[in-house]
Amino acid sequence: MRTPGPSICNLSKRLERPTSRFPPESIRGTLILLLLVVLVPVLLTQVWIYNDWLETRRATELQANLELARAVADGFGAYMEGVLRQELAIGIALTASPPPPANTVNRLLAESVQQYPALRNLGWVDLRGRVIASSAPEMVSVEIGDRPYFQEIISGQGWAVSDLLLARVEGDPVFTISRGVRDQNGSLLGVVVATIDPKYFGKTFDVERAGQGSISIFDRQGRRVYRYPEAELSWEQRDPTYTLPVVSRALAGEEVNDILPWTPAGDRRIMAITPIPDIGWAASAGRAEAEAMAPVLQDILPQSVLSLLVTALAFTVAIVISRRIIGPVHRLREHAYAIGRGDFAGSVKVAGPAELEQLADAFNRMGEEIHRQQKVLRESEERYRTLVESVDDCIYVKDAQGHYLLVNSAMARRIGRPAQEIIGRTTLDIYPPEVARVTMEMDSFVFDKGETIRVEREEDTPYGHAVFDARKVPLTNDAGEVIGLVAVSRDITERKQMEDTLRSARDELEARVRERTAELARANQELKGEVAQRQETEQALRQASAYNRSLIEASLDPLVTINAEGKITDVNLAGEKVTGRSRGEIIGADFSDYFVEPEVARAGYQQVFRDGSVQDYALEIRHRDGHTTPVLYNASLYRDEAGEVIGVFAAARDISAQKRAEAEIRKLNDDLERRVVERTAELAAANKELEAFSYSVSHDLRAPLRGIDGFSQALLEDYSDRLDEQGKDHLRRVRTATLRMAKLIDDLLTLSRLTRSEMHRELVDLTVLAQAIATELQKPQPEREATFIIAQGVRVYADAQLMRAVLENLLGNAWKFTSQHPRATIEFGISKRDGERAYYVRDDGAGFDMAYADKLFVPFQRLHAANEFAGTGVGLATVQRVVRRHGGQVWAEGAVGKGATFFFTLGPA
Amino acid sequence: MNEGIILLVEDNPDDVDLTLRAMRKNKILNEVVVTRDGTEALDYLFARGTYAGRNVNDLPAVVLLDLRRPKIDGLEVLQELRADPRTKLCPTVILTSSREEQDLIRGYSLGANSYIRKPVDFDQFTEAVRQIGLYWLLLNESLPRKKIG
Repeated sequence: MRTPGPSICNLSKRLERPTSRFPPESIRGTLILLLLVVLVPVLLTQVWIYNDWLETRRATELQANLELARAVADGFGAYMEGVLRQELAIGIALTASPPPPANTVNRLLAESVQQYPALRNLGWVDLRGRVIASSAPEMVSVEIGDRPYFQEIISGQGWAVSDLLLARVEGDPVFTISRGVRDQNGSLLGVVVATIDPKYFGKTFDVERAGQGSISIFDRQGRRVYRYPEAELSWEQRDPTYTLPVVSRALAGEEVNDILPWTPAGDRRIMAITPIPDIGWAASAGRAEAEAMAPVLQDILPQSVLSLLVTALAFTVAIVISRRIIGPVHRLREHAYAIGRGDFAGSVKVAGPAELEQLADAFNRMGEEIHRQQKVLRESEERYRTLVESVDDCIYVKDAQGHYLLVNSAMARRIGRPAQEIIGRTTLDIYPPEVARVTMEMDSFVFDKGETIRVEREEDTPYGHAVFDARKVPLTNDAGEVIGLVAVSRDITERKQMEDTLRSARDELEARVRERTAELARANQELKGEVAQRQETEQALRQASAYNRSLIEASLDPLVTINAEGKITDVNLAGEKVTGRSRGEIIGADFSDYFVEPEVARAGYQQVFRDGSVQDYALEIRHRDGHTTPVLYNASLYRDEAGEVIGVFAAARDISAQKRAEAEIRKLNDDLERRVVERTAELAAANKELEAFSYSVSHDLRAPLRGIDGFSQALLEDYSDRLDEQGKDHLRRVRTATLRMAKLIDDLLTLSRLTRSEMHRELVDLTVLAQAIATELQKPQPEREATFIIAQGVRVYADAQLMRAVLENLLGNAWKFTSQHPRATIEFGISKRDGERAYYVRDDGAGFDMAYADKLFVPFQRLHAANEFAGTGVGLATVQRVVRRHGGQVWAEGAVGKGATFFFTLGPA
Repeated sequence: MNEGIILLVEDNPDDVDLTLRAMRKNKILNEVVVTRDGTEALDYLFARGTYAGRNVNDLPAVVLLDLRRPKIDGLEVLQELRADPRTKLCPTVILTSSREEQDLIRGYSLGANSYIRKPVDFDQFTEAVRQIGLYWLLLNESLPRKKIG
């Protein structure tokens, strides 16, 4: 028995584990869902009930608060009425006739004050506003005529309640309730004024009703007159701006009852504000919402916690119960998976609901049945397999997706991998792409057409290159659909090889016959060719002879052959001409007869025999008429075919023209030399003169200049009091011009000296020189930000003195023309120009216009104004002279504002 | 400053005046003898001609010698000065316009103590004279004068 594995019958899909989904399809998920369906409405209902409780409580609180506010307003109204009544009584008593004595008045007032808590004092005021009598003696004589409430009563009002005001004597917040006292005719007799200290209202009203809440009274201005719980309030804290905006609504007569935001933190307050009728004041009551609602919340909290606990418990119980169902179901599922994998060992035992136990039994029976059927199937399969394995042909089966389902051992050998490795893979996994492509084309033919295909194909196998006779047959299911293919192929390599060997043997035989025939034909052809060639050679020989003769005759050089005895054996036309004799005369004669010096000619002839040849051997040939021709002879031995010396072959070159030219050149040379001597003498004289001149210039031109400068200075010093500013300026200009002229003379002398002085070339280190000059330039202007980049190891073979002049001028110029830039870079280096070393000095200063590049080196030419850059215009002329004396060249490149580069070469050392 | 005489050999009256002026400006108050040409200078140095009777041993503190003088050239004066044992040690400064190398070489080889080129710029000239005075009349230690007899 083989281990259970994929088989032909197992083309169907494998059982797959379910993935989690929503709505839940598992038993546990469904149970939880059920539970939720029951519990959620219950919880929602509870929330709704609690909310209702809260709302009811809130309404109750609002009502209670409003009632409190109204009670305060009523209480205040009652208090006010009481005071007014008392005042009326006092007024009547005071205006009785006859008027009571003063001590009685005061006692009456003091006693009345006792009856009303919060009443500070009572006063009797005359019509001018002066306090005539008072319960408080210090109030007597106080003027209150300016108070608005007093004015109101004077102007006819029966009584008045003032807004909160600051007491005249004590200075603390109070308000007054005053009443005018009139006679029967309505004439005002006086005013009774009660001063109320709101601090003591707590004793007047039933403020305790407010409990933890608060109450307040506001006057017409909205100023806080009283507040409970009592606290010391400053005048500013009573200010209307400190009260809520809703207060103004109440002052306007509207009753407000609402829950208002109180603190920025989100606390809210239950507020009721109610107008106090007749006097335009308002009373308010309020308490924190949280505080008011606290009792309800205290009831709700434990109840909600209990509900949540009950819910959680219900869930736990539900899950525990569900296990009893889920456990057996899981076991059934695992068993089903096991059967799916082909594992039939054991059966499933289930303890649980009766339906599940029955299900488990049915399941076990089904498993056993499948197991039995598989066994039968596998045995049948095994028979096929043995059959398939036993044949030499390669056999495999593929499914419709191209996976190998079966591979026999012959096929495995052909692929070179064990069958287990191949099974389950595709052609592409096994073969290289190009081989796989051929196979897959065949496969798709079979799959698409449902027909058998047969081909012969070659393939590289682990046991070598092989040829297969391959056949592929479609596998169909009951519905006639192609669900795979069977391939059978036979190795026909050996048969093929046999055929090939036979074919090549025949081909070789044929080739050999063809070769032999061709060889015979070639031999025949060669024979014919040889005959023709011989004829051609003979013809060519004849032609060559004639050709050679004409060459000899055509030569302008006299040619002659001489035999071993010194007799001439042949001569050409040139030879006849130079001697003035005919060929017939010459042949057979002694060769030396025709030369001016026969013995020299013979010596040359012998030299040929000795050395084999002579070159350019000078002789003179005598013409019949007596004139001679100078010639150079070139002669050599010539031999017969056997190598025996036959004689000498001699060629003469007429050199009379050359001789004439030589004579002429010699004459010209002599002439030239003479002229050079003359010119040199002239130049020396001129130089001497120039030297004397410049010496004189140096000496004699400077003396007067010094005089001019010195005496100008003397004038400036000694006569400054007699010279006006313009005169002094003129003198200063004289001095400047003088100094400039002196500089010009110096530069001119330098220039001329450089031209005259002798040059001594030696090894000069330009790097060291340039560095020294750079240091000198920087010394007087250390503040300038200038960088010198000097190439290292620049050595030249030149005159040191002159090189210093060149570098001084070029670096000095660079220094000068960068002076107007804040930062400057001056570079000395080497570059290549036309293969020659060119030295250069580069700056990034003022530069110049290339159009004037050729004017730069002309003495006294200046491209910049004198006031811009100082100078005499001799420097670059000097540089040019020096460079030219060294056989070099100097040139410049630049642009206005872009700096300038001066190059120079020094010629061959 | 010491009391020595300065012998100025100079034919150009302008240069004479300027030199004297420069000395005045520098407070060089020594006596200055001006000779107009080489012959006169030699006459003074050797107490001949116009200067007969002068003590030859009373050498000037310094001789300022211009080259290219009429009659006898400055260099010739120097040559004669150095040839004579009495004057051969007399400090002699060549003060001239010339900057020619040959003059420099000849001047020094004939025994000049200094070679100073007269600048055209009078300010520089004054400075040169100041330094000559400072050096030859003040800093330089001259030979002790020989006693008469």
